[in-house]
Amino acid sequence: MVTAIFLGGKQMERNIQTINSLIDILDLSKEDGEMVKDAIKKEGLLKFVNGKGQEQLTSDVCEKVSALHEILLLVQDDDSFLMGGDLGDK
Amino acid sequence: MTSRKVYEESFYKNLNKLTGIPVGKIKAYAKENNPFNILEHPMVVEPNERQLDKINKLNDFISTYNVLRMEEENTRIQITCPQDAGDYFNALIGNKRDRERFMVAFLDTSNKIIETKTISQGTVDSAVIYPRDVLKMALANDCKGILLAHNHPSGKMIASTPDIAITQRMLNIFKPLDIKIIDHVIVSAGKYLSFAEEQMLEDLNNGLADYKPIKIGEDVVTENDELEI
Repeated sequence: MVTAIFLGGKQMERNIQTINSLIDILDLSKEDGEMVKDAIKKEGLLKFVNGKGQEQLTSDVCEKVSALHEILLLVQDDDSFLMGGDLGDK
Repeated sequence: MTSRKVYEESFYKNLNKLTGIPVGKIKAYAKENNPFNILEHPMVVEPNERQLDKINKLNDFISTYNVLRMEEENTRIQITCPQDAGDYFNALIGNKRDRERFMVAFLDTSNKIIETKTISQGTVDSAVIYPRDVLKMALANDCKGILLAHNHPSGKMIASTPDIAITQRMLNIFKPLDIKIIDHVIVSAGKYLSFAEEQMLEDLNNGLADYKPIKIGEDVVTENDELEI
């Protein structure tokens, strides 16, 4: 499967910025940040956020990534959320 | 608690965890508004400088993530017919003559491949499959369909009794989970045999799910032979 990360040029620049943003969002220490970078290099950003390659990370970091993943899923479901849909009928 | 309420609570908790914005502030805003507005208009919860910076970065990340997701979606290989499946797996294992390899492609709702994994590498004429491994990977990929494949190093395009048995077992395991086994292809040197094309999938009845390891092989087993498990 193609992982659209680390492709080079402007995209690489964008990806580096994205990873740096991720590290800021998660408030990671330098050491945790490096581990996250390694995991993303290995798995790709999407898979990492979806929970792969997190074996070496601390439970605190995993919890933060999980929180981010949940927000991403909730944002994807935003239309259903607004309309009621499967999520309730507020 | 309604599912909507669960979603809301989850959003409050996670947004608080990542940005530090107090849950009370988020809840107060969400009483009369869609809480997702906070991401687009963070000033509604009067964040401090650090919280605002976090929300902005979170927004940037969400955008990039969505772009990457779309790019990945567009680059996924789609299986539209048995020939596609045969070509795909021939490219991967059709020329492997040293041993049998059993592979599984996990598919999304459009039959696009999410991930393909080698489940087992056996001997020149057999391989052992652990259904629980396939199940774990299927759930991890959140797939809607599964494509089974293995090679016959001998080049014989005949489905053996164990080949049919493993297909049956996979059908039994995944049907209750609403994950469709769309085909089982046997490949070798550019040729393929598709269970779907041969209408062999339709002939298989559903039984009880059985997670014991399965040994497949290309020897044609007679009716009196027992499956080696």
